[in-house]
Amino acid sequence: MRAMIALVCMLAVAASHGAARPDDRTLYDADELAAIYRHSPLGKPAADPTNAVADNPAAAQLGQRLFYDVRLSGNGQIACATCHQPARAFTDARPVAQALGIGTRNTPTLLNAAFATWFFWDGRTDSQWSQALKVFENPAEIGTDRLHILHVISDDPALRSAYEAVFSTLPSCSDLRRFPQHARPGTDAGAALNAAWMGMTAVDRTAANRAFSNVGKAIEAYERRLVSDDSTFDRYVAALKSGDQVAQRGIPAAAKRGLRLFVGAGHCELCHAGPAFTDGQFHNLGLPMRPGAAADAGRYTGIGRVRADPFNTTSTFSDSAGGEAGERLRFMPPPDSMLGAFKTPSLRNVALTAPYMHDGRFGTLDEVLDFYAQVPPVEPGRRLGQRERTLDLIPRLTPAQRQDLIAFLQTLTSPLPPAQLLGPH
Amino acid sequence: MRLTVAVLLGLTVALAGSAPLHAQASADPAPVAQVVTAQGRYRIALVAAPHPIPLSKYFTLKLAVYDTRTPTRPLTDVKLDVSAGMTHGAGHEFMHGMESSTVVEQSNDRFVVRGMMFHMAGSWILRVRVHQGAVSDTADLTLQCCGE
Repeated sequence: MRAMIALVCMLAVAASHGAARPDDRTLYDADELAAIYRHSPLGKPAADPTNAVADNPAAAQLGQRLFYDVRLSGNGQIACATCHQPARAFTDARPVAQALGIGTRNTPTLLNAAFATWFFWDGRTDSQWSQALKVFENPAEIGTDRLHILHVISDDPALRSAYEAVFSTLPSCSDLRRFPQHARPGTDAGAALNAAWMGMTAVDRTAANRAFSNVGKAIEAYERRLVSDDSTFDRYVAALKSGDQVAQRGIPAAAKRGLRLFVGAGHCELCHAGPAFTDGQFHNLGLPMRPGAAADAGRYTGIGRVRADPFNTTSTFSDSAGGEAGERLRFMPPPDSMLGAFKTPSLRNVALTAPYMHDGRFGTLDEVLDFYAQVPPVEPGRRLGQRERTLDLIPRLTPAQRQDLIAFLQTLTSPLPPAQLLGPH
Repeated sequence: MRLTVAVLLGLTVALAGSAPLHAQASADPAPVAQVVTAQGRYRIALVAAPHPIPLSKYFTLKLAVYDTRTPTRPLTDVKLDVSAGMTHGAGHEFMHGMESSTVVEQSNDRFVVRGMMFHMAGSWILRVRVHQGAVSDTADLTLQCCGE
C-alpha cells in the first residue's frame, strides 16, 4: 500500500513536471523544425571512389603510422600531427600554421574533414589523399620530398611490410641511381631536388608518384576515421524527433534561442548547411587584408591549382577518374568570380577550433560574431574581389543574440574519436 | 500524373523580366515549366528537370526554345547561355550565383544544360539568354531548392 502511494505521488510529480515543460517542438515553427532536422545526424562520410583503400582498415593503420612519423619530414622533427594535434581537436590553436616555416593560413581541424569535397581553404585539391601530398612537399610545412618518403618506408621493414600488405611492392629504392635519396619536381624547394627528379626515367618517376599517391591514400584512410559526432546538439535533435521531453532539457534555453536564430532570422544556415554545417563552397566575406600581409586570392588561385594538380581526381593516380569528382573539376566556376573567396568551414566542434577565419584573425567566437554583426562591414582596409551580398541578409545582432548563438555553437562540440586513433598506435 | 503535377507546382514560372506565358502554344506534351523571354521573342520550355532538385549535387536540365511567332516548332539555330543565382527576395540582381559553370550541349531541338548545382536552399533564378544571330533575349525561371 505504501509503495502504491509512493508510485502515485511520483506519477503526479512527473505529470506536473511534464505539464510545466511543453515539448520543445512547440518552440519552433514547421520551417525551423525542418531546418533543424536537416543538421543531424551527421552520418557517415560519402564513399571516396578515387581512393580504392579509403575504407580499408589496414590502410588506415598504415596511414595512422605515417601521420605521426617525424622521419618523413625535411628536418626529422615534423609530422602531420605537429599542426593537426589530437589534443587540440586536430588543430594547432595558432592563427596560422607553424611547422618548418610560418604559413599564411589557419590550420583547419581534421575532425569530420572526410565530409568535404574540396580541401585547403582555397580548395586547391579535390581529394583528401592529394591534400596530404601537398603538405609533405610544402617547404613551410613538412618540407620533405617524395623520394625521401619512399626511402623511409623502404628502409623500415615493418613500415615497408605494412605498405606492401595494402598496396603493391614498393619501387626498388636500394638502387640510388634510379631512385635518389631526395627528389621531387618543381623548384620551390631548390633546383637540386628538381634536377634529381628530372634525372630519373619517366617510368621510375611514375612508379615514385604512384607510391607517393599511395601514401596519401593511406593517410586519407586514417583521417576518414576521425569522425566526431554525437554532440549535445545531435542528442537534442534526436530528442526533438522522438518527443523525449526529458532529453530535450539537455541544452540550455539560450542555446535553443541561438538555434532558432541560426536556422531562421540569422540566415547562418544558408552557408553553414546540412549535417556538417557547411555548404562545402567558397564565399567572399569582405574581410579586409591585414596590414603587412600578402594578398591572398583564395579560391581564385585554388581553381587553377586543382586543375593543374598532377594528383587530382582525374589524374592517372586516381582510382576513379569519372563520377562526381570528375564533374566537380569539369564544372568549376570562373576564377574571377571567386577572387577573395574561402571555403566555408564546418561549425561542428567550432568551440574547440579557435582562432577563426582563413588567416586566424579572430581569436574568439565573440569576435567572429562581432564581424558578422557589422552590416555593412566597418573594418578598414583593402579588400580583394566582391563581398558576397548574401551577407547583407544577416541582421544586426544584439549582444544578447550573439550570446545565444555562441551558446548554440557550443552544443556542436562532440567527443573526440576513440583513443586508439589519437596517437601513433 | 501525380508526379507531373507536383513538378509543375514545384517549378514556378518567374514573373520578373519575363512576359506572360501562353500555355496553349506548347508543342511539348508536358513541359515542367515555360516562360516567354523579356522582349517576347522566344518561349523557353523546361522539358526535363530532377524533382526534387538535389542540394549541392550536380544536375542536368533539358530546354527547348520556340519562336513565339511559330510556336509549335522548336528552334535549332539558337545558342543558349544558362546561369543561375539567388536574389533572396531583394530585387532582380543576384546576391550570388552558382559555384559551378554550366555547359550547354545541343541535341537536335533540345538543349541539355549540365553543371547545374544549387548549394543553398531556397528560390533560385534560372537565367536563360537566347542568341539567334544578332538577336538576344533573356528569360528567368524560378526553381525551388531543394529536396532531401
